[in-house]
Formats: sequence, structure tokens, C-alpha cells
Amino acid sequence: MVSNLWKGVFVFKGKKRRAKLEDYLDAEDGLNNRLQTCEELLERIQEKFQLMQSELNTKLFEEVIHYVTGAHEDFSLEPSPVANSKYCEIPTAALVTGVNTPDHDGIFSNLVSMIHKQLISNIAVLKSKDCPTLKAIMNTTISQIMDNVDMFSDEEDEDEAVSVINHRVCSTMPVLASWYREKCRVKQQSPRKRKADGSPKKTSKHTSTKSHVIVVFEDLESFIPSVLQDFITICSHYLQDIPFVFIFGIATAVTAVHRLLPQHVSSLLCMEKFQAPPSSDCLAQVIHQIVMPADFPFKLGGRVFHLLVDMFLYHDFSVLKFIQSFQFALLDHFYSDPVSIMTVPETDLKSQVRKLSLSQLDHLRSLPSFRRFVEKQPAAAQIKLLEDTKYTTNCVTEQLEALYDYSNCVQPILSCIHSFVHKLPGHPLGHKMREIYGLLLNQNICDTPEYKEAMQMLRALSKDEMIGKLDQCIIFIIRSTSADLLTDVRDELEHFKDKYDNIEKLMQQEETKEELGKKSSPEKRTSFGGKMDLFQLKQTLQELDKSKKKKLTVYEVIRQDTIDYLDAIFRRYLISPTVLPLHEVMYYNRVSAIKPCINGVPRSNLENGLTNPGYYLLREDLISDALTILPTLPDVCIAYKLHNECGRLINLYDWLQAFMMIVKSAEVDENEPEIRKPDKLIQARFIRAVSELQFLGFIKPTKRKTDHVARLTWGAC
Amino acid sequence: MPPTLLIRRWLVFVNGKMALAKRTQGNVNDLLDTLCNTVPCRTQQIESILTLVGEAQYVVVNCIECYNCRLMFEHILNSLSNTSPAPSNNFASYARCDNVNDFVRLFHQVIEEEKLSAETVYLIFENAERLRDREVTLLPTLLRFQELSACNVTVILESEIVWEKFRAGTGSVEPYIIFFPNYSKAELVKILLMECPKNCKPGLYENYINLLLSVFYHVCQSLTELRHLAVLNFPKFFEPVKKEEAAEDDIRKLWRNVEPHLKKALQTVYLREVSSAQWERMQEESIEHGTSISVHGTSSHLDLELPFFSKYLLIAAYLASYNPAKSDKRFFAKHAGKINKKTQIARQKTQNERIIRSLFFVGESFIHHPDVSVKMLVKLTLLFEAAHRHLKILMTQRLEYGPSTALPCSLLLLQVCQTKSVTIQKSYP
Repeated sequence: MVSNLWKGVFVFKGKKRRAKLEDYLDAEDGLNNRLQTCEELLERIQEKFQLMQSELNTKLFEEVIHYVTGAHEDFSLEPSPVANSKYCEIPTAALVTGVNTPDHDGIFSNLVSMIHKQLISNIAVLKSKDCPTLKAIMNTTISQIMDNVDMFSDEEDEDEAVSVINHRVCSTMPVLASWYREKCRVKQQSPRKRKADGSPKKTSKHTSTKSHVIVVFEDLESFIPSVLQDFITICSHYLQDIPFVFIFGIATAVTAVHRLLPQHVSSLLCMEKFQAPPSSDCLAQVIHQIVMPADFPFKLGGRVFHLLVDMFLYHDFSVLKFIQSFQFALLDHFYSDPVSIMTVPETDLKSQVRKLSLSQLDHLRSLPSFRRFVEKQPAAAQIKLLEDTKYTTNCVTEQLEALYDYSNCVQPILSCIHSFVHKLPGHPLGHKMREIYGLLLNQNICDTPEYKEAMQMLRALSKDEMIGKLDQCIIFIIRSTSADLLTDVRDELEHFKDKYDNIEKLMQQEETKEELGKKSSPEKRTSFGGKMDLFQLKQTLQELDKSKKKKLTVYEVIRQDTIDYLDAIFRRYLISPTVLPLHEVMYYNRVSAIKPCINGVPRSNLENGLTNPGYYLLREDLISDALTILPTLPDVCIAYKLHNECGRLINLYDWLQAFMMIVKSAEVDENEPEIRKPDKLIQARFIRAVSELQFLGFIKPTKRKTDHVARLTWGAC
Repeated sequence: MPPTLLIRRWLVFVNGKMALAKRTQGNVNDLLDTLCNTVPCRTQQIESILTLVGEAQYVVVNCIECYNCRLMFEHILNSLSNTSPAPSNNFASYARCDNVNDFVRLFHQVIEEEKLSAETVYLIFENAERLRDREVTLLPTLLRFQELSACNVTVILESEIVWEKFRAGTGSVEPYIIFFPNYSKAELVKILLMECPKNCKPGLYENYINLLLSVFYHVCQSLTELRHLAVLNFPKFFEPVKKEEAAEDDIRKLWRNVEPHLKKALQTVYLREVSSAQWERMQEESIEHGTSISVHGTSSHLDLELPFFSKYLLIAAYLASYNPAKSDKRFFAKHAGKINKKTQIARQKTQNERIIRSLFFVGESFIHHPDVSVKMLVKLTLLFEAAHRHLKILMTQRLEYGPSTALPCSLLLLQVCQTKSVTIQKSYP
């Protein structure tokens, strides 16, 4: 048997086949165009994100680096006569990074590259998964630190030599210490020579012979405490030979250090805490710089935007995931939507419209928003829009340009409304920019009751607040890319601001007016003096009272005007994109397509697969409702459905009987009621199904009752 | 002289053991004097060691660092033969040696090569308690090393735990034990005085140390910690003298000045979450803002925001662990009627299930997320100690909860609740 088998097995090295683009995408015209725009956009997003991330953390990193350079100020390799107690403490920067663990890789790689740029240091970056034992942690540390030496000398030969050495030599601290001493000695003796070797970047910045040995613990909480304790103790022993500096990446709080290290170890550290900015700040930046700006022609629709933000807030605060989901949405938009051919930067719009083919135009025509637009046109135009290609292309260009103008204006105006409402009591429109933006994507903000409430509150703003906010708004508009579109708004706001600044003058004018009015009023008052019946008196008194109440101060009048003007502006610009024609070109809103891809539901999918295997196996004869058990189903599905009918403990024999009944019912007609013993084949199939269920985590063996298994899930049936 | 020696270290001065084996050319009395100067308050112990130990060739082995036998043996051989791993010799050691047999053979070889057979060689093992976790034969081997190697060698073990805990198996020899007792308060003052800064008069510094000890001696007798505190708080004490606002002998004024700082430091004793520089900065800030530093130092204000699900899961885990299982129904069922004891016992749920149930109760929006159970339980590993423990227990389902596990949990929960207004009242009718 065996010999036959091996005789029969041959390996054929087939031709290596590269998957081509056409295999995945239908050969449609404009496809390459779409792909190109998509790739460009992806690249831009990636670039911008990286830039933003490093900018965001620059301040923190600079603080850390400052701390690192300041550590070990009086370190020297010569043994000092007085043993200094300071040397027993390892300077440690505790970097509290927040719970968004997926982002930490990026943060630390930025930090390390920044340290490399600014200092001549030897860095080892430790991750808990590489360091399960003391030996492993020593190996990773020492090999990483010593590999850096290659920068200072010939690359290739040294590289090999070091890697060979590391295989042979035990990585111990004496090795590292002697290596470090040697390195410092070489550096002191021949700084010239090193220059000749060619590493200009390093030599130019090199000021002192001292270089630290930095050990970065990326995820401190996941390290095994005993390993970490031993490692720290060992390092502190060698502190007189090697100037260690630790950087702890802590996700939760500094107390984690005390949980990991007992006092006699933590007293070896001299910690300083650094707090990274919270990731919600980073998200705000991402939304401000990548999601909202008009220079990215791709935008998220309301529901997708909400989904992404919810994922962020509910699961892990990971900005990286957010941006990846955003990129996925972008890909899906360009891949699945033929109208994405028009999703191009504003500058390419006209050339792109000229390239439109008839079928692509038809796609645009069939968009629901465009149809709505057509219906509103007069009859003659309607026919033209449906038949005349040229007319339609012109119309499409117009509408798309309007869409671009809209998205250009939205961001500064949104910033304005945000600056006005974010500190209102009760936050009727939310206090984060993303909340207002989310509202806007779904509906016209100005129609909501929250907006009315907010406006009501704004009518009671104090003068100082008002001036500050107007200032902010003007700055927003000046800074935005669409400043020329909004010049009139800016002028008007500045006009209002001038009014506030000159309010003293206006008040004086008003006073003089009033005085004039008073002078003229005695005439009226004389009428008072005349004879008058009771009713007339009452009426005049009431009128007087009313006029007194209505009397507004100058400030209140101007405030009224300002708010009215702002209201008008908001109503003009803050329209929901969903009402604009052709918004589908820019706004991606296929939430049902994207949700299973970025937020999978493993449990319910598993359940669905087991109750309804036909759905995944693409066989219609297997599709049934949840309660009927077809004998043609796979074994594990039958076992699963049967186990759903049981309680907490399942009798294996009963289960087997039921299983057999169902499996056999396909083969034997019902007239044979005889109960047989299960044959071996069925028994084997059953056991296999049961063990598969155990593997999937639905049942487990129990000792509470013999021949029973325990269910681990509940409430399915 | 006994072949083995156990030193029970108890707050030994850090350099003590190094000085102990330092080779000196002078006579024993000179040696005694120098040692007593570097290691004060240990005269008696030093005398007894000196009567046992002469001038010697010695090797110090740190048992934490040499985490396996090979490292340990090679380290001893390297030091005796003066081989140090260096780039020039490709970081090679004296010889490869990973078992006792080889070690004994190579030890002989080294002794002969280095002509040490006339002298006594001392092998000093620091943190000797770690030797117990190695091979069972290692400790007896070392204790009888003189017999095994037939060389003039003495093994010194240094440890913080009592000898009784070393005894395991057979073949070990009782060592001669030297005990280092705790420092008394007077001794602590004497030792701390050795670090008097240059610009400060010894008399003033002594006053300072006495003040310091009066505050801290009750909570902390560790020399290292006290030394840390002394260095940390001295600038504050010395400030008025430096600015010439107070005379050096005006102890009362100096005390009034430093007292609040010491009180604050008392809250963070042993924690060391801030370096002295940062401590300074914090104190300055607090003076600027006119507020006091929060009582528990930096760690207490937990500016940690958790994702929505994690937060609720943590609370649910806490609730499930804090309440007895039988009260679940009363707390979490919407219309809890009369509790039927029989059904309760019959429906004993696993801890896992209980957590999920309370989770559903606490966060009603979870009902819209059917995937929550699997995903969230996996995510739980990322949370805190409490969550860590819970998950381990939950997943294995072997242990029962005790009130002791609930305690850290409750602290944590409180912190979580402080960060975001999470109402627990909801779950407690």
C-alpha cells in the first residue's frame, strides 16, 4: 500500500502564474483611470497620515529625547573612586501611550527613527512576544545593540561576522560591556579615521564621546514579570560599565510598573513620566486633515462615517484602524462603483468629463440623485438631459463644480459653527467637530431642533465671547483653501466685529438720540395732561410699558443682527450632501458592503454557517429554516442543530441516536421502525462531528455526569 | 575553616560584599579599619568574616545574571583565568563548559595554569536563593565543591532568606552562617550622615536626617529608600539657609518649611514614579496654581479613557465577581419575582456566562451587538490586572472567586467610574 502510494506522488513545478489586474476587474473602459486615481489618493492619504502622526508626537518625542540626553551626565568609563549611589538607578522614561495598542508600533518606530537622527545611540526595541525568557530578552537586546555597530565600519563583512559571533557567543552582559568599552575607546582614539570610513551624518552631529544604550520596552504590560525583573536587576549591576536608559511603553497607567515589579526592583529605576496625547486628538486631526478637506475628492457618507467613528469609540481607539478602514472604503468605492470615474481632483474635472463614454454617462444618469434633479427641471430640459449627450455633459460638469464649491465652503463654515456651539451648555450640537460633521452628512443641520436650541442660546452670548468667536471664524475663513469663495462672508463678519469694537461710540450716539427723543417727547406727555377717560389711560400706559420692554441696548441689537446673519450663512452653506445632485460621485455610503469587511462578526457568521450551510456552500438544496434538519446536511451541522435542542448537559448516547435517526432517514423508508445499533461508520462520523464542535468551542467534556458533555453556549433555541 | 559560608544579607550596605573580598596588602587591622569605614555599623560581622577569610583570589557570581549553569561555570573560569570576552578574541570565553564534570576538570586546569594552588580561592554567589531553582544537584555540588575539586576553595553564598529554606534532597553540607541584623535607627543616622553634601555642615545635616527619620521611620526602614528620600527632599530643607532667610540653627523654622514637602513625600514612599527633577517641577507647579499635589502622587489621577465596550465589560466583570452568583437574578432580571431556590441551583451558570449577562444588563446597547461575547472576551486580555485575572479564571473555569480578587477590581472600577460618569446605580436596585 505504502509503496504504491509513494510511487504515485510526484511534484510538478507548474508555471508560475502572476495574477493580473484583469483577472480581478472586469475589463471595463475607464478602469485604468479609476485605478490610477485610486492609487494616487491612497498614496496621498498615507503620506499625509504619516506626516500628521509624526507632527503630533514631535513635542513628546523631543521631551523624551531631552530626558535621554540629560541622563548619565557624569558617566565615565574610568572607575570613580567614590561609588556613587546614583549609579544604581537606571534612568527610565515612562511613556504613557494610551490604550490604542494597534497604533503603538507606529509611535515607537517614529520615536526610534527620531532618536537615531538626533543622537548617536545604541537602541534595542523589545517586544513582549520576542522575550518570553531571560535568555531571549538578553539575546534580542544584545544582538540589536551590537548590530548597530556596523554603521561605524565596513558594512558587509562586519555584518556577517557579527551574526556569526552572536550565534557562537553567549549574549551576556560582560560581552556587551567589553564591546561598549571597545567602541568608546575606538571613538576616542580615532575620530578622524571614522570620518574617512564614511558616515557623515553621524560624525557631524557627534559632540561628545558618550553614547547611551537605550532599551525600549514597547508593551511593558505584556512582559512576563519575572523576566523583566531579572533583566532590570542585571542591567543595574552593569550600570557602571554601560549607561543604560530605559523607555517603557505603558498603555494604561504608571501603576502598571508597580504591578510588574516588586519594590526592590522598582527602586532600581528612576522614572519620569511622559504622557502621549490622547488618540481622540489624533482622530480629530485625521478628520480635519484627511476626511473633511476638499482636496481629497473622496468623502465618506454619513452612515459610513458613523460606522467608522463608532468602531473607533467602541472598540480600541485605534487611529490606524480608522485610517485603514477609510482607505478600504476608498478602494471599495473605486472598485465597485462605475460612477467613481468622475471622482477626480477638481483640476482634472473638465478633462475627465470630456473622456466620458456613453455607458459611463448612462451610469451617471441613472443615479437617484441625478434623477431627482432631472425631475425638477422644466420638461424641455428633462428631455434634453435624457437624450442630448452634450447638454448632459455640460450639466454634469456644472453640477460637479457646484459640488466641489460646496465641499470647499463646508469646512470653514463648519469650523465657524463649531467654534460657536462647542461650549454651549448641554452641547446641543455636540462638542466635537466630528459630531457636527456627522450630523451634516446625514441631514440639513439647520432643520434640526438641536440647531434651533443652539441658536436660541447663542442669542444670549456676552460681548467678549462674541468678539472672540468672530475672530476665530475670520481666521478659519482666511486660512481655508476656499477663502476667495467666502470673501463676502468674511467682509460681513469683519464689519460686525468693527461694530462691536466701536460699540462705545454707537452707544453715545444712541444716548444723544435718546436725549433728542426725550426732548421731543414732552409734546406727547402734554397729551397725557389732557382729559382722558379711564380706558384711554390704561391703553397709553400699556403702550408705554411695551415700548420700555422692547427697548434693547445697542449691543443687543448688534448681537441680534450678527446671529441672524450667521443663521442665514449656515442655512446657505450647511446643506446635507445627500440632497445635492450627483453626490454619489464623491460621497461613499455603502455601509452594508463595508461593514462585514471591517467589523466582522465571527460568532454569528459561525452560527449562520452551521445552521444554514447552503449559504456558504452555494447549494440551494441545503438551504432550510433553522428548525428542520435535513439528512443531506454536513455531519457537523446535524450535530450542531441537535445540540441546540438540548439543555446544559447533553447525553452522548441520546445524541448519537438522534444523529443516526436523521442520517438514516435518507436511506431507509419509514416503514422500518426497528431501532438498530449504530454501525461503526455512523459512530465514527458522529464522533468526528462532536469533536469538531468541541474544537469550535460549543461543548466541552464534563465530569459531572458520565457520558455527558456540557454545552458552552446558551439561548440559541 | 569551613568550605562553605552563608551570609544572610539583611540590608547589607551595597558595597559591603565587594569590600569584603577586596585584596589588600596591609595587615588585618588596617583592613578592618578600611572596611569598617566603608561599611559602617557592621563591625561585628566584618570581624567574624575576617577571622575566616584571608587574603584571597575571589570570583563573584551573580546568580540572577548567570541564569544557567553554563554561564555560571564559564564566568567563574573566565574570571580565574583573566579572560574577558572582547572584540579582539571574538568574545570567546576560556572554554566551553556546561556540566559539573567539565567544570571540575577545567577548574583544576585553571588553578594549575594560574598557579593558584597555594592560595584559597573564594567563589561568592550573590542571590544564592536562585540556585535552588536550578538542577537539584547543583547546590549540593557547590556546597561540597572543596571535596569534589580537591582544591583549596571556599564557597560563599549570599542570600536574604534563611538557610532552612535551602535544604532539599541529600548530600548538602551545613555552611557556617553569618547573620547581618537590621540596622537600628542610630545606625541608619550614622550611615545616612556619610552622604552629607559638601556645602552643608555635618551638624545641620544630622538635624535634617533626624527630622527625616522622625517622619519616615515608621513606614519605611529600608536604607536605599531612605537614602533616596534624603536626597529628594534635602534641597527644600536647605533652601532657606541658602537664601539666608533662616539661620542654620533655627531648626524650628527649617522644620516648618520642609514639613509639608515631607508629608507629601510620605504618600509616595516606595513608589518612585517621579524622578527628583519631576518632583521639583510638580511642586513648583502646585505652588503656582495654588493647589496641592494630589494626595497619591502622579498615579492616582488616572487620565485613562477606555473604549466603550472595554469599559462596560470591565464593569460587568466586576459585578459578576463581586456579587454572589445567586443574587444575579435579583439584580439583573427586569421583573424579578419570587426567587425559586430549586431553579437557581439547577441553573448554575459559569462565570463567563454571568459576565456576559451582567454586561447585557449594564450596557443595553449591547443587544445590538451580537458579536460582543467572543470579541470582547478576547479583548479583555488587553485590560488591567483585574481583567487579566478574570479572564484567566474565566477561560479555564477552574477557580472560584474569592473576595480577594474582587478587591483590586473594585479599586479599578472606581477609577474607571471617575474618568467617565458611569452609573453603577443602574445595576443596584
